[in-house]
Amino acid sequence: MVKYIFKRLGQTVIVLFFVSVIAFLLIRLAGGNPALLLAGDGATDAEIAEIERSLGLDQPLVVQYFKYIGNILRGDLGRSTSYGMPVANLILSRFPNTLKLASVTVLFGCILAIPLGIIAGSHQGTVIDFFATLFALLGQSMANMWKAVVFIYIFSVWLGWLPSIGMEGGIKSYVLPVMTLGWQMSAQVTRISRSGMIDTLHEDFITATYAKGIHPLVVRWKYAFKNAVCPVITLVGMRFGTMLAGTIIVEAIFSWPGLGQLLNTAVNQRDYALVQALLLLSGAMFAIINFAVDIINSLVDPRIKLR
Amino acid sequence: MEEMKKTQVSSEEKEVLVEIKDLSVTYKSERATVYALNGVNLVIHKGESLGLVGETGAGKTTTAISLLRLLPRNATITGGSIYYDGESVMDMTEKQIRQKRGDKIAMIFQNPLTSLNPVFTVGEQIAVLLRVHRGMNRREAMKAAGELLEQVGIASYRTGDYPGQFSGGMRQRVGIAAGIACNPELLIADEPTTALDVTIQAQILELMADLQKKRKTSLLMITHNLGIISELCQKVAVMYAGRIIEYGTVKEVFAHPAHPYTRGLLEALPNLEKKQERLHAIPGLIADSQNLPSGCHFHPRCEHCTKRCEKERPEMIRLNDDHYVACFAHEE
Ligand SMILES: Nc1ncnc2c1ncn2[C@@H]1O[C@H](COP(=O)(O)OP(=O)(O)OP(=O)(O)O)[C@@H](O)[C@H]1O
Ligand SMILES: [Mg+2]
Repeated sequence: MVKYIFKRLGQTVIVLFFVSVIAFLLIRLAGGNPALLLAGDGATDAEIAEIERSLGLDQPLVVQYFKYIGNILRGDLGRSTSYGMPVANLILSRFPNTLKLASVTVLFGCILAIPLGIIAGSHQGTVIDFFATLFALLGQSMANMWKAVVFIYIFSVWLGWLPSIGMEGGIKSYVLPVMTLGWQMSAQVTRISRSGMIDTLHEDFITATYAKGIHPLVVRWKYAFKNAVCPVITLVGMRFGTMLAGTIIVEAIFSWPGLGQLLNTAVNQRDYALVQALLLLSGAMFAIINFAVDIINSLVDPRIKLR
Repeated sequence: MEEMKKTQVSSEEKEVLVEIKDLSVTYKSERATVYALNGVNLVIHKGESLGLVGETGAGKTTTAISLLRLLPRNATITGGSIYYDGESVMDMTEKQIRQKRGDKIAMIFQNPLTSLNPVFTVGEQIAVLLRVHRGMNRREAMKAAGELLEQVGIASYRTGDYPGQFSGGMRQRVGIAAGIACNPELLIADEPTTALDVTIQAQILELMADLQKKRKTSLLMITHNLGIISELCQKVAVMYAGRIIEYGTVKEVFAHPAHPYTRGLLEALPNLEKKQERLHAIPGLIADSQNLPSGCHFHPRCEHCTKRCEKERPEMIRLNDDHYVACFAHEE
């Protein structure tokens, strides 16, 4: 186990290295000379040269890279041109909002979707299976934008129950964005737990478990589901990672002050330092979540670390 | 002579544990209906070990899982009844049958590689039986599981290992340990050795014979290996296309096989004493349970087939107290 953790940790570090290299090169590849970009239109050659020197752009790339990493480790992610403040502060103020939204969505999505998938998979072809499948189909086939608009229309405009903008409304503000994001996620989780259960319940060892006189609910929820849970954990991890990177559309529609909005602005305003930092952050989060998912899966399924 | 009489008397006195009457089971698949069991009659007495032989697809496993009421959803019982210790299995409540499973009736499954749950430790898979049926707590149950592993020749500290860390033979031993955990009245062993190599087969059989003797368990031994039956069982039932076609004491049936199919099976055994030129094989194909022959299911492959065999299905005929056969050739 310890060996497996170290192996995966090593891989994660390598991934993090590549993510940082890509983020570092981005500003150099995407926009040509960053000094030109930073200086803005109409800057004189002398001004540009001055910026180049201050940024260390006259030094070799390797040196520049290590300086960049050094800055990051000191918490200096550069200055956002569009917001006119340090990128680090900007991210620190927005990240918690995205984290809260993503966590609540994952929590509710799983609480709903996993039992639904288990029950549907255990009773294939019944009414409940039909509705679970329908729920999943709708959740996956309707775009989030469309769902958001419908929800806003029904619950904010028509019924007037829930706010549709910002997060000042406390718990109430979460309902619509969580429903929008959560439906899509639970759709996938329902489907994958359902099909995992169907596959597992056909196995010989399940008949053998029933032959021990164990209650059917225990057989399904404990002895069968543990065999089906790894893909679910992987999927939830990936969805969580995606949402942590900021959900641009949903945050835009609900004016949710998170990373997605930040990224939207950064790209539109060609705010390279901010884009670079967000890219680095989402890459790093994915790598870390992946690592966590692999460790959890290897604890659940002993075959994984033997492979 | 003296001995023969004794066994006869004792076998009659023995109490009936399982009685299967005229059991018929079909499986529905997308395209076809499989007639897996077509009127099975079978009796298992207390403390007795019965061998159930038959070709692949004869319905041996189906018979066994019917007894535990564990048929899959696409199966239908189209007729007949099963009694366990005088109680109708089909009329038991879910709870009643569940309390029998694993406790009174235990089953060792055919394929040790697929019948253990890969994500639970072997200790847990044995211990759960003791928690459910004996009310032990986790620690007690796990300790008892370790002792059971010792009994089947696996070190007790391995309770914490997963099935993937065991060889096929050891996994079968784990299956046996789970089978005997609650000291069942009836142990069903579904070809417990087919997946194993010959030396391990012998060990496992010895182990089972030993355990059965010590614990006075009734044993239903499913196999297509007649050698196993002659070593381990007192009674034998021969199954063909979902019916029992010959039944009796192992001694009697092996000495005087009455059904042409049983004779074929016995001749197909390699005989080491008489130097045979080549092995006999029963001619013809295995009966197709989606499309069964009329009359006696064996008639297309039978050397002694008559017009009657093609039309009528033979019922069991009593040859003597120790021997029954379903074949018209033995009618007076
Ligand atoms: N779940 C199922 N669905 C459809 N048909 C089945 C199913 N299980 C068994 N059958 C069919 O029922 C018949 C009897 O099968 P069964 O497993 O009882 O045979 P068996 O005597 O145990 O054979 P084997 O020696 O190969 O284990 C076979 O024709 C088989 O194909
Ligand atoms: Mg079988």
